Amino acid sequence: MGDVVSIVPETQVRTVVDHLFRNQAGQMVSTLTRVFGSQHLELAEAVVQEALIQAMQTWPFKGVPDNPAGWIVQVAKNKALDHIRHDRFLIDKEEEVRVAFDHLSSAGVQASSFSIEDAVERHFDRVLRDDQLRMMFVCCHPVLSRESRLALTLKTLCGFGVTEIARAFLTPVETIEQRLVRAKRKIRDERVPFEIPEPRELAGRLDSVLEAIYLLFNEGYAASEGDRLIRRDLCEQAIRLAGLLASSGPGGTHPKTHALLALLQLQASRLDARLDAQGDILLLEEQDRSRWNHRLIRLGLESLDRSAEGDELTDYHLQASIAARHAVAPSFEQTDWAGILSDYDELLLRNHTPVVALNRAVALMMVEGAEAAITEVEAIRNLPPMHRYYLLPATLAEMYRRAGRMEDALREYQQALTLVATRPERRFLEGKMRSLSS
Amino acid sequence: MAQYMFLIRDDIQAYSRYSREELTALIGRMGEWSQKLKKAGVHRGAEKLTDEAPRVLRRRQGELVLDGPFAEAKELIGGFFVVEARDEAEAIEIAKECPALQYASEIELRTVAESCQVVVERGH
Repeated sequence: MGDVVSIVPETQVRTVVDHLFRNQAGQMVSTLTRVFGSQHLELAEAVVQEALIQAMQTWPFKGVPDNPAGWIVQVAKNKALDHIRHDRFLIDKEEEVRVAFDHLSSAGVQASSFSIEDAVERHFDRVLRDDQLRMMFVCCHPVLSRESRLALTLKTLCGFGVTEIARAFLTPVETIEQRLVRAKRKIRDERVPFEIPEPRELAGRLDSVLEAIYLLFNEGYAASEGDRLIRRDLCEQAIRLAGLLASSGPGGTHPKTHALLALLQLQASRLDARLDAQGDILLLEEQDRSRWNHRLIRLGLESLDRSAEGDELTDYHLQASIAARHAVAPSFEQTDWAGILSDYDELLLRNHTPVVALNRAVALMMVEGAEAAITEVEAIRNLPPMHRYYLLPATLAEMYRRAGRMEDALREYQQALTLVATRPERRFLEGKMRSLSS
Repeated sequence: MAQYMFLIRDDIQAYSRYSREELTALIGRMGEWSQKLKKAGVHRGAEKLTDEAPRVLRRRQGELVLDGPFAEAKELIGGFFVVEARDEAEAIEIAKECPALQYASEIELRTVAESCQVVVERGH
């Protein structure tokens, strides 16, 4: 007998298992928490976790079943019933658990195909989707710290294990564990209800959900060190959650939800083109635009259209507009830089931070030339956190290079090198310095 | 041809440390391995046993007693396969390819006794 290891079926198994862990698990935890009440979030998680473990232990022997989602739902149902029979506070929930799981197994299969492009499923089962929405509002409740919101969202809605969250945030496992314990205690103590907020408080509560989704995406998108697969999962999950919100009444009636979704879809369209074969960073200018995901760009532009309904204008709108101008440009040079500059002007008015100013300066360079941009960047270089941000001297170096001031450029690259944290960043800067002298 | 039982014995503690990626890979490879046995027509069955601690029912001084659960067991038979092979040597070759061996597992190989052969010989 020859070599048994071949790669194709294993990747199929991976797709199935990833879907179960990431999406099906989040759905089951949400639905069970609705039945049990948010004070029993931990029990809901435990039941789903046990079902997933049972799958991972059984399938090596019995193979992956034809309907893996249905299999998991059935096992979780038995475990849930088993738990509530031993808990006097939950003993009367039996009927509700049965109904919820029957619903899960009849509706669960339709959501089993998921790709980053299909994040906005038009035919979500409304009951199940609303369970996940309620869970989002619980996980992103204002009584929780910003970090806790992210960790809890990943844990309950996206099926991330504690070690995966730790890897995603480059934070020790113990810290994440404590964060989750504290968050769940807070939810119990403050009696955070498992519900979609009333219309009058919805807009504010929605902001904290959108912000968490935005931060999750950024964490995944930042081309810094760490596990690339986990980071991609973060981006996919952020898009999935934004899509869930956008397809719902409570989220979808607010244009800012569509603006955020547009921003994430447009940014994600460049995920694959952003790194070269060695995993090194490619600048927008250097990317092969045919490798951009054009389906995501189209979806992003559609979401952007939808975000223009109503008169709300948010930072997400402006950022999405900038991303869209890049996404439709045939080349770096032939980009609507004037449009981008005016978006940045608006963004800067609303949100005067050095990071926005630095990005605006790049657009300024393309519109008015390098010298104008250099003046802007030199003016903010000593503001915190810019004085420790390697991208400032790196950007400035590029501006000096364009202005023909090679010695200044070299000095800035050297300055940037003292601030980098990761090897890809270092290789990137060293490559730039070599290209200066050639 | 004879039937052989592969008892997969897992180190429970080591097993629980595997990441989801590793376990997914195990499911994939085990699936391929079983598929190959099925195609060759030698796959005779497989079951997973739960990780519940074992219990033993035995007669002691005339009385039936139930011992256990023996929770301290560090290794457990996680499951088994029944495979048909020409002889023990071939069964060992098949077992060697079992992907579980790349993890914290051992395979105990047992030959299923051939009961019908006796009947055939008596019939002579």
